[in-house]
Amino acid sequence: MTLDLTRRSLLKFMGGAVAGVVLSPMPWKLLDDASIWTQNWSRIARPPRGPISWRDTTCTLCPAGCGLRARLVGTSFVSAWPVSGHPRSAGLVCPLGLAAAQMRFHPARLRGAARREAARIDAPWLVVDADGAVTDLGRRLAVRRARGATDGLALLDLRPGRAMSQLYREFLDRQGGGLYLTLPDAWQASAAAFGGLIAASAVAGAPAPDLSRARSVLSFGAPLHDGWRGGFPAGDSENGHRPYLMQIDAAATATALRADRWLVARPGSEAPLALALAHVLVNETLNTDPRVAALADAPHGPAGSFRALLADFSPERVSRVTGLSPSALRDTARELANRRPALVVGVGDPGGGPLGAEEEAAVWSLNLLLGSVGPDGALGLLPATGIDFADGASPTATSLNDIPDGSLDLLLVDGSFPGAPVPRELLRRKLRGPDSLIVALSGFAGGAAALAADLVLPTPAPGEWTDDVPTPTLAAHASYAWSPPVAAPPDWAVHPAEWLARLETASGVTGNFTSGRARHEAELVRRAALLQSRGRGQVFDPRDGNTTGIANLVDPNALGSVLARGGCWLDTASLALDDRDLRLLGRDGELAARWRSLSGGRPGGSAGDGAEPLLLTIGGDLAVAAGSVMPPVLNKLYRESELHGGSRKAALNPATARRLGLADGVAAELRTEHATRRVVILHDPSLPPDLVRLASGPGPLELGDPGEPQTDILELGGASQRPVWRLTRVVLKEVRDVNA
Amino acid sequence: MSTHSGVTATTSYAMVIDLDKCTGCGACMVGCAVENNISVPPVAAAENRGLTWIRVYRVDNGKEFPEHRSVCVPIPCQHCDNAPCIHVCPVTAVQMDESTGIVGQIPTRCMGCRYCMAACPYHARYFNWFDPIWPEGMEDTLNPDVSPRMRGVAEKCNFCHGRLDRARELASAGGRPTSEPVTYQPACAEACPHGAITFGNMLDESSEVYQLAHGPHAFRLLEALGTKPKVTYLSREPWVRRIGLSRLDMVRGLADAPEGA
Repeated sequence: MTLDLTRRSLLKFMGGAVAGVVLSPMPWKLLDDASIWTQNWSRIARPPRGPISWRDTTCTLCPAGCGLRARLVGTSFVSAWPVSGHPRSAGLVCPLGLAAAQMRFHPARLRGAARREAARIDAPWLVVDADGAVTDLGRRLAVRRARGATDGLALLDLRPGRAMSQLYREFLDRQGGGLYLTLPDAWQASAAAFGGLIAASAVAGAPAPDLSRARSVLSFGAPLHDGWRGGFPAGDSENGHRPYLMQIDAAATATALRADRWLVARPGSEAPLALALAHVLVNETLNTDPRVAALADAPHGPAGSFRALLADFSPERVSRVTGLSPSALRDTARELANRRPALVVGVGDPGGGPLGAEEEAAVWSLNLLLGSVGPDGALGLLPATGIDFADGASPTATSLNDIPDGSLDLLLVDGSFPGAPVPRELLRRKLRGPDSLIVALSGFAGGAAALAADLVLPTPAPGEWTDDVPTPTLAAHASYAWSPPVAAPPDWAVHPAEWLARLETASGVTGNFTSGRARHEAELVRRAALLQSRGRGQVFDPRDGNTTGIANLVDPNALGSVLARGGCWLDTASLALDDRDLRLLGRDGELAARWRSLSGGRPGGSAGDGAEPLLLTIGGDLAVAAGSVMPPVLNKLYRESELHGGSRKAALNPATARRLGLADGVAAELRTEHATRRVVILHDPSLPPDLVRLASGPGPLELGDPGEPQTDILELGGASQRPVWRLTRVVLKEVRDVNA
Repeated sequence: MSTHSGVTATTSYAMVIDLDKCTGCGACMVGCAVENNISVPPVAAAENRGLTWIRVYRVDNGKEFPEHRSVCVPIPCQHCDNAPCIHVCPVTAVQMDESTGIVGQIPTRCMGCRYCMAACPYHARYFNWFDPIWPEGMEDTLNPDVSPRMRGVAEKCNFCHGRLDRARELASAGGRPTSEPVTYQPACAEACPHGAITFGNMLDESSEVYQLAHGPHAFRLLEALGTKPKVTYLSREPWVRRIGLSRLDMVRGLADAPEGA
């Protein structure tokens, strides 16, 4: 048999080969490889590689101080998840905490000391020499001390009660004196109002509402079911898992819709509404209770008695102010009286700043009338700061609102908490002259501290240093935790205590310590040892998830060791309060006149030009405050979905919008008597007619867009001029230019 | 036990979302994005160009204030047993894992035609309009268990397959056969601060997810289409349960049927 190679057979072979290749897996393999190859461009990010480990810490992105379990790949902090069984967060964490790892690389993160080009909010930041900046500040401090001045210097601590707070006070003390300032947020303002109803001679205590112990809850707009876990227990009312909830809210919020009773009251009518409920409690429901009668009839000097004041707040009269019927007011008061322990909470939307001292006092007075304070009630009483660290601190804290304008030459601002609402103009007004400076110790060129600052000295980001986290305001129990670092800070980020030490050195003060960080660590250790030595409370150890009595710790430094691995100290004890120490009209009866002045509701100001004014409520989208620096991934909530509008969108009732000719999505100018801002209109049927709602944060810069200038949203409500700025009159007009 | 294409499965992962507990906080969206290396689009991009493997929609009853009521509805991929996206994909980039019931997306096969997006009645698929780029340094926070996807491919929820793999590795290291069902939680379920998301094996009748999915308040989205989604929703509110109805239901008159029908 011969093998003849013909042209025909050659062509057939070649044709068969081509067909075979086409039908073989080879082309698909080539396509697949090409696909894989095109996924490996150098510009595509590559995840870190390395052994995976977990480390526990405490979140410092808001005062709640939730437990976080950080996932590390090698030395990279890649994500954070809840800590099961953590006493503060009950195994839960909010979106901020979930994305905490991104904060270290936030586009607004500073990479050196930075100075604003001009004292304008939209002025760009210029990188400056940190040593030169410290030398300049040191010279200012030295000159001040040489003059023997005791004024002009202040430090604003946005998160008081920490070990750093103690170091700030020591710093001021060694500089010959200075003001240690705080700026109460909505929670702190509420707690402060409670203190005003207690005699000065009584045991100082902070209110600790415990929802789990209440049979009924009346909330004045508090976002118990809105936002990021308002602390309200989930579950079915009929199963007894949660208290009977009554929500006072102008809008159909998630809390209002989930409440057992939703009371649609006009914004600004909270004080008369609370006093009308007190009127019912005192005069109808509880008039047979000698305890209530004694409280209501206690004389307050010229102010008379609480019962006498309540004559001006009958349900019929208040009905006209609140929009609620007299019967609704009576029924609400009776529900509270019949379902005790009852709890009444104020605060409102914390993103909108304080509810108002008068409103909060009226709310707390309801709790006192209902006998909610004490072991049988739902309102505990903690030592004033949650924990008394016996630090003998000097100087004492002063509210920023209480110092005169034009009185400061140098204002240092602690920016370790990137989310506090700080009205920029309020800070700027305190400066004495053009040479006066606001210096922020912050990791970010955005956020609360940097908002008003001329100079920012870069500090580590949350998760890069050990801060301590004292009891959150209005928490049910006292607690204490540290935030052990889960990542190393970059070279340019300097521990805030180290900045203080450098400033002391530059100003010629010979401090009692050479290393700020060492001093801070010593203070942390002192606090842990002090807590342990008192032998009170329990300790949660995340290593095994167990909670044990502190008395079981043998080693005197054991608590410090547990805190250093992300543990938490917890104390459920509560102080006692004697009815004889209660002052329902304030310590000097001053509340009577202030409440009467609000009998018609809190005025919202005027828009001024005769156009149809609406009522603007400034609030917090998810309780996010203005200036909060947020992980960029939160864009998913604010830009990539319709879930939350952020601070760019002004929401209003569709019928009102149609009446004003404002279509959904159009650009509009929002003008109050204090400021003007460009917004996008959002039709929101959950709002009542004539009400406009604007979230105070986050803005584009806070979400990671460094190209956007910062704006001071709070100033729309006149935050630098009014103690309550969540409510103001506003005019909305469509902006028709194409560049809007 | 169930069979798909002749393969016997012991596991069919499914999810139950309690809408009465969801407050629209968005923790599921953030947890998902962190876990699955989902990037943020450029600032200049249109708002609808983002990637949200699970997206929370706000649905209302269509009435004006004060009768207005709304509910937040998290919608991930429904992992349909009869998934339209699988049928339309011309390059078999969408496949169902017969052993778990998870509908997976294979980005290396995807050619970006977006037929799957058009076919998905739940709008649960997203197109990667941009290269996955993070702010400088932030790639150091990416999850090493999940590869970032390239521009030009479709994406969707895969019930956190990276976590499933880790759970299998742990089970295997513990000496269990890899064919046995493993228990794990997707990122959204772990992140939800209200306990609204329950995840588990629907073939296990003792599992919580099975019990909830067969409760009186359970419903699924667009059931009339016959897609057989594995995500079940719960609500005690009748008007909320009606959001699962489709135009087909209306044609068939189901929309007017008494509640619970």
